[in-house]
Amino acid sequence: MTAAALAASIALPVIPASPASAYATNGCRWGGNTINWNFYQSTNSTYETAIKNAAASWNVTQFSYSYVTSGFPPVRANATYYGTTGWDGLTQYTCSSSGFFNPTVGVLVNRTYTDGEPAHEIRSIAAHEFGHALGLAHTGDESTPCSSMHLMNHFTDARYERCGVYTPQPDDINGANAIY
Amino acid sequence: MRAMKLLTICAGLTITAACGGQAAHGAGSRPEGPVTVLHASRATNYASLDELATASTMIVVGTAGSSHVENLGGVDFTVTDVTITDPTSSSPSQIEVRQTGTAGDLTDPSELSPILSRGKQYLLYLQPFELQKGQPTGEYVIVGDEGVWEAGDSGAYQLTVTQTGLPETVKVSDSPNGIVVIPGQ
Repeated sequence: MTAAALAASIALPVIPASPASAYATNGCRWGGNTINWNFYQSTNSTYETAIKNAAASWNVTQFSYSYVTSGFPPVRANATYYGTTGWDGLTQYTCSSSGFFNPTVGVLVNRTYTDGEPAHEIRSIAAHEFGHALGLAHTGDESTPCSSMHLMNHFTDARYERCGVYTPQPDDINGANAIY
Repeated sequence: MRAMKLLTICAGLTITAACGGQAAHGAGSRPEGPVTVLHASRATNYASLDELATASTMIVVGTAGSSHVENLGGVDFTVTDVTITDPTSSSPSQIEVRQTGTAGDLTDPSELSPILSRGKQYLLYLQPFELQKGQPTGEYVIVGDEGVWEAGDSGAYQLTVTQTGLPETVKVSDSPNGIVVIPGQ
């Protein structure tokens, strides 16, 4: 079996909803509807504002992120230089045997790619990662038309640069509400 | 939809060591306890070999050797020694290739390339790894984290990532100007 076939056969649990819903979940969730978060380390005001707005954009759903100014909350964001890795955003977590996120979940923005980009693009990337951190998986691909584009599409050039999406779309909201 | 194809024996279950089998991120034993899951958002998607070649500083066939894990900003990266099969005068005989995550992590090939497996041969489109653009570190990364094909038994190479515009299968031959990559079998 080739590496690609093996990888395709043993992969992340992406749990799609019915075709009409067009969202997918990653099989993990929080026990409550509100989760505190803050930054691993201080960052500049552009990133701080964009990432705070990104988290808050999910508060239109039945789940909400609450920013705290100190301590070690279950979700922590970081915007730093991870290098020319190929990704501009990353979510990192472990999931318990009962299907709940273990703290700490990392929501990460790679400044190697985002420095100098519009604030809304940074917000699009961060909001997408916050979506993973509440339990959503990817939907769509590079060719998804803008009329069907979701925040949970994992190609920044399609999601934001082509379609201008930086907030949860109706199906993203439906997905969060389905979990919580 | 790609998501439909990703249901596995672990669907509906949590990501733990008990999920069984090899981690999608590469060969290797699963660590005890919950497995780290990574979701990545691609910065760039390459639609063709020509686009990939334009972004590359080096296109090589090489064999993966030993590797080590480094942590940067809370994220583990695997750095693998790659021995180039037929180095030219302008390429080194051995390089280090950095990838995100470890062989024990759980991820998706549409988001992150599977960790290079020791002893396997790969076609690699590479560019210098830079923390900040314009400042190479000496290591290399796979362009877009997409330009990687694994050698198969038939002589063809199979793309290890998914949801790109790149050919899933290519063949490689030598030429006086370096290797030539031909899409298809």
